[in-house]
Amino acid sequence: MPPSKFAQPPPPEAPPEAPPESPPEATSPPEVNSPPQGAAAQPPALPGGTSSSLATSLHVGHVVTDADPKPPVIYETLRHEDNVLEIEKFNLWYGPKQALFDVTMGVPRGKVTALIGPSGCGKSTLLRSVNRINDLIDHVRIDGEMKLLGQSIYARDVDVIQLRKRMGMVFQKPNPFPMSIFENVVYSLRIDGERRRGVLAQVCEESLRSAALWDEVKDRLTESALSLSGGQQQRLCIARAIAAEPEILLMDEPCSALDPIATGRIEDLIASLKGDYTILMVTHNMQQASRSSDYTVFMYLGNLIEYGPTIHIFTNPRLRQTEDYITGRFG
Amino acid sequence: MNVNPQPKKHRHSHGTRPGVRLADTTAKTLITLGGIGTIVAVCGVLVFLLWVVMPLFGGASIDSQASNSTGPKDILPAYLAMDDPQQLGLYLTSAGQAGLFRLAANAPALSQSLASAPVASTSPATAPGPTPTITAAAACGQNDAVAVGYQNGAIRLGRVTVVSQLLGPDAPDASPLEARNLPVGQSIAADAALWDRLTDEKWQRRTLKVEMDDPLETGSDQPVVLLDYLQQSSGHLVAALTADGQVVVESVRQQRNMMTGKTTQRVTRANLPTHAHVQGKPIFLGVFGLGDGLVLAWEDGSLLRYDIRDLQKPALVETVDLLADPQARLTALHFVLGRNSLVAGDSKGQLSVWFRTKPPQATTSDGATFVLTRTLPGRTHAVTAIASSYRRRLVAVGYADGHLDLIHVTSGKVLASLDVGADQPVTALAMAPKDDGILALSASGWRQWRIDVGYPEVTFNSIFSPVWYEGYNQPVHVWQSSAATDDFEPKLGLIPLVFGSLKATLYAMLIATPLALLAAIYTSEFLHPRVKARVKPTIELMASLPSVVLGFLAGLVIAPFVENVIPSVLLGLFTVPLVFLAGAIVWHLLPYRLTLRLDSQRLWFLLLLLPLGLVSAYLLGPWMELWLFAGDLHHWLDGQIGSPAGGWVLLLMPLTALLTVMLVTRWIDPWLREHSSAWTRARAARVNALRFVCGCCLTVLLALSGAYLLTLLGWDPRGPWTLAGIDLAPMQTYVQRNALIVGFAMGFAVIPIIYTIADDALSAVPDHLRSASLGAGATPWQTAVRVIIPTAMSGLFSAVMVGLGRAVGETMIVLMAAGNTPVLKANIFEGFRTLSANIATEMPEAVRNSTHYRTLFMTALVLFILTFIINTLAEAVRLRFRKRAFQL
Repeated sequence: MPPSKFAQPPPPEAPPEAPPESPPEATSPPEVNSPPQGAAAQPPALPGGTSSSLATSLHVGHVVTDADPKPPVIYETLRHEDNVLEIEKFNLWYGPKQALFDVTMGVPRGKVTALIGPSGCGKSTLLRSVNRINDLIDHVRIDGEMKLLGQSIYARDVDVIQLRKRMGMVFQKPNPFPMSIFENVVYSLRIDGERRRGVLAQVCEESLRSAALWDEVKDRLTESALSLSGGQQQRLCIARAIAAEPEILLMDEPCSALDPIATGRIEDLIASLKGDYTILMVTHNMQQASRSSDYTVFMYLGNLIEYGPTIHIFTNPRLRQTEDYITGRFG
Repeated sequence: MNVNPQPKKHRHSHGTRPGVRLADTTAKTLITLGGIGTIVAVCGVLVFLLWVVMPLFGGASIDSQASNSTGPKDILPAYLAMDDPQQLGLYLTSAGQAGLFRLAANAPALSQSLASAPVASTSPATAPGPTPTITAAAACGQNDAVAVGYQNGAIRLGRVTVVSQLLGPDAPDASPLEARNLPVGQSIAADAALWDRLTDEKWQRRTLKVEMDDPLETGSDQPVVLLDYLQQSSGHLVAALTADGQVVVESVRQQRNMMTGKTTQRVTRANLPTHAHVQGKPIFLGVFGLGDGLVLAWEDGSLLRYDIRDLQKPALVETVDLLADPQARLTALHFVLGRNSLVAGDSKGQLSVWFRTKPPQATTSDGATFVLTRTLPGRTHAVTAIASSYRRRLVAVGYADGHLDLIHVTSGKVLASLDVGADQPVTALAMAPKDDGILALSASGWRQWRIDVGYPEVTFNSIFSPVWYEGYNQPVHVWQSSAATDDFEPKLGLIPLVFGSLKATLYAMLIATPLALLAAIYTSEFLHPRVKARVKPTIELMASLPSVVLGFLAGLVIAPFVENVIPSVLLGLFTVPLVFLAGAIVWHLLPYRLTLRLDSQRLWFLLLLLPLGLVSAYLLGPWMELWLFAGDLHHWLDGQIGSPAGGWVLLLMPLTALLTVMLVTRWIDPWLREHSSAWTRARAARVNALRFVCGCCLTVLLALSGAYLLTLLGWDPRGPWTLAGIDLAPMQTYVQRNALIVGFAMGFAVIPIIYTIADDALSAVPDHLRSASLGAGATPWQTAVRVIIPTAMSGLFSAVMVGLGRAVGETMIVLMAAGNTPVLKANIFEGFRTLSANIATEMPEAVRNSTHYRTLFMTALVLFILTFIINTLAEAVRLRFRKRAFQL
């Protein structure tokens, strides 16, 4: 991977200029399994640059009054899951600004894990760190470890291209390539040099069927993908992602640019993919998270706050902060 | 914080303020004006060009005409002339009179009153007794010299001059009374002079001055039937046919001794045999302009051509039949300006043009053949008279039905069709010295037209299709607008210039397009944004370099340098890309950890490769020259030494490289893909390197075998491969300023334009497509090739087309580096002349509103249309591409 130039703007979840409500105490040492509650640990020495946000924060009132330093709450049930992806003490800086603070979590196999939280909480950053798309942005520094099936993602001798082939990614906005529907779906096979027509056709059909798009497009596979509607395009992108048989499917607010009907279909699709695919999904939509995910992670200001089964998080969160967010009191 | 201030109520007006309205109206008006102004300006240029060019395609215009039913009688048709202001007609009668007549419609009395002078000798002692009847006469071009042949076989040379005097009120008393009492504006003939009263106090008196030399002996007492008289700087030549079939040629060479100033004359006389050919009436006797040949034609169309370069041994070279139709009789034959081409007219009204050509396979003794090169538009009645212009290749042709056509011989353009009237045959014709008038004589008197011939040399065909110019062996496309001599035939074919423009564009684009597009892909997709922020403005700075500086460098620095190291330059076209590919292979062979560490410094390694490629080309160039071009490329290109195979190897190399790449991707790569998944990186890299080396060897082997095969077939890249007049051979004689140099220099000028637009197009591809492709595990190169480039295709295409537009119109570089020879050769080592450079070179010398001047505007119009077509096509294709990539 050469130093890449893409003048991609930082994702919308990038931290604000000076996070006004950022209490330095909010950074707490995360642990994989929930430690005894209230066992507050000393915040680790932060890398340079956060002192400014500390300085600013002293003058700004707290929106969330009870945002006291608390360790992340990670539910017991998660300990028994078989994790495809392990994230350990992951920190990330955009230049001098830290966007993720010691995030530690696992993504269980065959389940849908939703990342929720207010804008700028770092959930998209976390998602994009998994397949190292953030590498493309200038001035990004990371610390910590991520492992896909026990294999490090950020080690020096990792071939990023190989790594990305093992993950599929679906973006906020549907982004089909300006080519035919067929070529879009088999793109990942094409770049691996697959030429056998039969294999390509088979993968295309299977992927489109999995993405619940086959019946709608089977007669016009050679047409431009851009002729599809927004919802169809997004399902096409999902089909493109699963055509590569990824070990994990990363979805970055896959429905945010879609109308309610298309959103519903995508949600149905996610539900149907559950079991076969491991999905890590960022969403702004509470209902969507509650409807389609198995586990929910609540993030706030770059910290993992609470991580547990969706039903628990949404009906009976352990932390007040989570409850406030879910009930719409802030966020 | 907890204070919630009442929102202050603003009184809000719902109207738009007048200032805003005014600004809006002003902006709208200005924008409308500007937009319409631009369109009008572009259309204005086109309209102006058309306005200047259109007269080229028009005919002659007739300003005025005059006629009189009583004209001179018994004149010799071979001698009829008009004076410069077209006031007088000058003629000779068979009775031995030279005469003047006033060309005025309302002065019938004057036409009879001849200001005549006897044809008298300057030395009365030798004057023949009673004036014998003149049977033949010949004028000698535009000067006053005249030759006459008599009934008794004598020939006399002389000068017939009109002497004009302006007389004031103190005119000598000798003036006749009639002239003194003449009303203003009238003229009379009196006292052997023609008088015009111009004003109250001013008369013009014109007399005819005739000087005749001593008679020449023809050795025959038979009447002279035909006569021709040629004056040259070194003397003169007279040829005569007598009634008994003798052709006598007398040449007088005057040589002036440089030391003593004494002039000596050398007279040579020859008799030519005609015996076998005397059938019917002889029509024409003529001596070619250089005095090296003589033609004699009879009524039955047979023409004899003699070689009289050596008058001691004159020889009949060939006999030609001028008539295609056996029923027709030859009725008129006349030289065109320059005395090399003949226009023949027959009894069926057909007109044809003949001249000598020198085809390589000629079997005649002087290596030339007299051929029919063109037929001119004729009529259905017999041709009765032909007169030629003194300054253009223009002839006036008179017919038996009293019609008269003015035709340009080279272009075949009929400038005017005139009617002498009364259905009488035209008996004699004269053109005014400045081509601004025609005088025609018939039984019903004379008629004169004052005309403006316009632009006779130019027709659409003479510009865009091959024209058979005098002295050429076949019709050709030639641009040669001017020359040293007056009887020069302007050759205004624009095709060599169009070809030159296209050739310059082709070679410049061959060099600029790949470099500029690859540079744009590299900077937009691979280069770090911070480095790009410096690189892009630097390349754009190249565009601001004045093209005259580039042309100067190319013509005076690069061209002489390249001439010395041309083998290395040719080799460099191969070694530089090869070294970059080899660099990539070597990079792959390095230990992985090392490459990761060095990754950020990769640009510097890349920069090192360029000099490496150039140095290797420089060092290996002489070896390649020795191996492929027998040690001397310049002589090889001249076709003197070596086998054609050497050139074929170089030409075939790019093709065989492509072929090898196709073969490898088709057969080797799938096998490698299947087996390489289990290999270590180092092993894959080694196999990759092996594949590269084998590919290079295969490329060279294929090129070699192809080259030997083509050589066996007898094909030579040095040509000539002529197709439609264009020599398509790619390598021929080396000329210092050539298309390769222009390719480099103009490529340098075009690169920044293509690069900037292409880079903008690539950078404008939405990042979400990049992310999607990279997220799917594509490499940056795969992303660029499969997603970014197809998406940006419309932009890339317009980048290339804008570059193309610049290259087509570029002037200074080609002017200074291309040699400016308008040749039709695809040879990369030879120059050309472009449309734009032609305008720049010749416009300062062109006479305003002349044919040349308007043809140069025609050149500009062709350039305009060429760029218009290119840009329109480009826009159409670009819109197609854009349609494909819509919705982004």
